[in-house]
Amino acid sequence: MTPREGRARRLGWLLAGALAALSALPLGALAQEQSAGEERAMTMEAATGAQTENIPGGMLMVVAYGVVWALVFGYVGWLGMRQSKLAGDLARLSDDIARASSKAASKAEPEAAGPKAAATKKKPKKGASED
Amino acid sequence: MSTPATRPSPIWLGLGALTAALLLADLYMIFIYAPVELRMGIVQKIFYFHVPSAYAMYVGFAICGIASAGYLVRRTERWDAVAVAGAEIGLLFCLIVLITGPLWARKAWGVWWTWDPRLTTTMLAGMIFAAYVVLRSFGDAGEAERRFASALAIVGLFVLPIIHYSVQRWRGTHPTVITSQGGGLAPEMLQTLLFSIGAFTALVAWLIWTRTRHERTRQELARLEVEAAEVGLLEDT
Repeated sequence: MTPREGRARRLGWLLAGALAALSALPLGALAQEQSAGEERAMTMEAATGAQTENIPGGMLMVVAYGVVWALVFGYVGWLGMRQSKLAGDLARLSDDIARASSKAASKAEPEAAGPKAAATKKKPKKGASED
Repeated sequence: MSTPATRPSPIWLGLGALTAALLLADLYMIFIYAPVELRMGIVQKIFYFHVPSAYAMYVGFAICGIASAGYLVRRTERWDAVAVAGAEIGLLFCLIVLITGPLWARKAWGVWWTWDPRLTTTMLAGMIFAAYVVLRSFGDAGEAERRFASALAIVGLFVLPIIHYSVQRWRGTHPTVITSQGGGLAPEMLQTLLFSIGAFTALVAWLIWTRTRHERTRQELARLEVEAAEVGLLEDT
């Protein structure tokens, strides 16, 4: 092991130790506060009959649901638009590459067969063989 | 022309239809089936979207963290695509949680925001994954950016249990409804909450699938652009 590798390994162990210590800190705090959640446990009960509210919450609820739907539908719509644009670009590029490849292949074919064959292909003589 | 990367699968379409049906049924459960809460009134109905959104946020961020670890081990684009999808969908639901929570708190606590442990840790997780999304949205991320973002997502993964247990173990104002002792929900409310969580499970699964598909298409396009440059198609760009 080179000194550089040794230093890198020690640094790696140090970082792993620091990460483990950071992860353990909240766990220690959690252990000290076992009952805090239980102490403020709340009950939700169903109302029976007509009720009046001291702070009207109807508008807050409408805004909350409106925000949820706006965010979800907005995101799905945005994703749909981007997906169709990407699909279009992908199809166009695939076609371009296929065209360019076939063009390059047809250009390379006579050159690969030699200059004489290329000349023959360019100016075919009457009755001459193509192979 | 549709390629294998862009062609929608019947299972994806089916899951989308199922999600839409479940969300419609969920609205019926929330507004018709579940009773109005005695002390908080109608604003308590935010709870049926707020809690499942928090759960969907956990799912998205956890998938991002796990897929990022998978990417660091395997270095395949498939893991990377799933990680990007998880981060973005998790962030969407984190935003929903951080907006619907204060709307409920205004009525229940009289304030829009307080530096309660759960609220603060949720915001911290949101900021970590927002950094991930921003880092990945700077055009085509190189290998170094991808690895850095993956490490960031793994750090974010460590915050998730802290968010979850902060409300149970530390003193704060955020309520707990379902605990081992005390608290609780009226039976119709509990059924509605469980149904909402089911509907949001379908929603988050469908959204992550959709976003992963989109990311795979983008990766395919990036690969084709390299191929096009090799055959001399992109010389003027």
